[in-house]
Amino acid sequence: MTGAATAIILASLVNNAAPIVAAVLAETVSERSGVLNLGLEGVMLIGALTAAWVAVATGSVEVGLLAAAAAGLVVGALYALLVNGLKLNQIIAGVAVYMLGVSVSTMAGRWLERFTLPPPASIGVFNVAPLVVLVLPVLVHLSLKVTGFDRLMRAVGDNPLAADMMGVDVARVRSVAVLINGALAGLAGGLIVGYIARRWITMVTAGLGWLSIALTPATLWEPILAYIPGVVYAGAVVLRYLGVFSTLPPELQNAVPYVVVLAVAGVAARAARRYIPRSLGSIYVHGASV
Amino acid sequence: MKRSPRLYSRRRGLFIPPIRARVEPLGVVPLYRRLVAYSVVTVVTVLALLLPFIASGTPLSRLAGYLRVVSSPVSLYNIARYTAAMMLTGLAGVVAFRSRVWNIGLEGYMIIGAVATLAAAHIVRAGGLTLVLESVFAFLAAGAYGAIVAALYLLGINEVVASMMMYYVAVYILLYVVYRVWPSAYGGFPYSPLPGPRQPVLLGAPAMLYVGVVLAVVAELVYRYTLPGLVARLAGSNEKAARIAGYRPRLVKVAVLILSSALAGLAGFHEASVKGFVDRGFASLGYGFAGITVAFLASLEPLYVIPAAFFMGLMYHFGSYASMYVQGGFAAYFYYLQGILLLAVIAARTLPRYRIILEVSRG
Repeated sequence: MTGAATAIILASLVNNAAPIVAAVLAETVSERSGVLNLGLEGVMLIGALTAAWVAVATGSVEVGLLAAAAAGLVVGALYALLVNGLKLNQIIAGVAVYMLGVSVSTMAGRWLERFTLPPPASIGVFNVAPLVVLVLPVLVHLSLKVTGFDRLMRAVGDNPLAADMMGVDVARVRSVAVLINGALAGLAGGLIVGYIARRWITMVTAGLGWLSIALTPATLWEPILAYIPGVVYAGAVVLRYLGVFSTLPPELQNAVPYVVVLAVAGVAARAARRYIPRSLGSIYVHGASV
Repeated sequence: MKRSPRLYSRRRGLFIPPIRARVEPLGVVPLYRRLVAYSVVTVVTVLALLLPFIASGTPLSRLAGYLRVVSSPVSLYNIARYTAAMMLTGLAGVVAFRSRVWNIGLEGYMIIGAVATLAAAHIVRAGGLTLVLESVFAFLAAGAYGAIVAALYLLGINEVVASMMMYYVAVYILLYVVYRVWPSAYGGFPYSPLPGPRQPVLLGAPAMLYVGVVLAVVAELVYRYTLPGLVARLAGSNEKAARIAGYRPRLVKVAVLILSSALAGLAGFHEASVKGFVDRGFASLGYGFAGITVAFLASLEPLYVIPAAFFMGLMYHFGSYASMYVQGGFAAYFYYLQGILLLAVIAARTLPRYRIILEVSRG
């Protein structure tokens, strides 16, 4: 294999890994604080739509990515209001956000389908933004540690009652975690539309959000380990490009990443059982009698 | 000089916004509080549902136009057809959610059920019993597909995620079947060869509508009067009590997951035998996800699934009418409607239990 071909494969690996890394990072942060965001796919779709729209309007995919993160932040705020403010069931509210994301992006995005996005900034065969996104896990890890927010999140995620007794505002910490989640998820959607699909397609994320939620246990809920799921998914995609599964019909080849991810998630879930945030998925109401 | 508030400081913690809201749980929920919450939720829901129409121009004349369309025999047959499908997926949802098994990917089992129906139709010819055999085959195939999700659940993967992933896999299986195994027409829209299965029509409605009603009543009786029903409820409401009573909640959940998937497979049989063929449109029918909304509209009571499914069937029909005026096709509007309704239902269940307190801090 020549050097150029290797570089192209590496670039494709980076482009495919970046959205998964961002989405898994998003889910890791919110799950660490005890909030399960099943609406991830919906948030990503809204982010993708915003990215495509802004990229077409301004002619720059990178500006689109920033807009996607902002849009994700807004949806994250809505979700935080629903589950941390109004104390709605996280699973149902998450599914509702997923449905709203799917429908709103489909209704608002129809006219965008005929535009191809402008070319992204790149160095050689590598695109800039996915490379930058690959630094995010380290950045998030360090900033959480330096600010001490990491400790708050762990306390709230493992034992909200004890954290509350120590004077931590559980709803506020969780809301901030969900906001971080929203921004990162929106960014992940923008990456998918900007660097993989290269145009707006209805349901462009094609289950990558659910896939990221499935892979979150593989990080042991540590933001810095968000690389593992990215490598797993991107590896499966690149193997498919290289024709490893070419004996299968094309429709079933598309299903391969999902099956690989499910297998990996099955192994990871077993190993990660001891690390799961203990209040994951439960709502906490200050002052409620248990 | 006053310093501007920072977002976060080690000493003072997170930035505290000047206007804050928090909730306080109430011990006893008075009736008026419930009524106020319900009416607020209803008004917000109706406004949210009309939003796409308001964006499109004149909402009222559109609604009046719908009232003229809805009473035609074709419309009534279609509403019955949608109702039957959603009754089955709604029951699947109730069965799963009652035991706190979040089997969200009902759509996937439905696809598998539809594909299995067609497979049975092409393999066996059993005279008058063909339809029965097909439905049993759909039931078993979807149940087997659910067993995969159950195995993943036992490995420790969240069943929501596992069933959603298997939904996406089911879509690819459907595409494979439609494009490679039985393509009867090449080009843009291949579908399985005709003649396919044909469901009889009784009193102007598909036969599965009556089967759905019977199943709902049976499920209600099972939940109310039998031990398995009690155990299924117990596994959902109090896992610890179930364990102490000598049952194994995980095993109960696995059984319930498989049963619920199989019920969703029947909905696939219904739609395949109404249409007589399977095409790629089966990937996004939306009945499966509607089952979630139906189950919660019915407040997880099997008997209430019947009116809830009728309501959603009407809404599905309305959605297909609305698609003429709302961008993105009726599946999109129907998803929007479901998202709003789901939020409305859980908000109406949760909100009355809390006192909402607004705090405004000065300086």
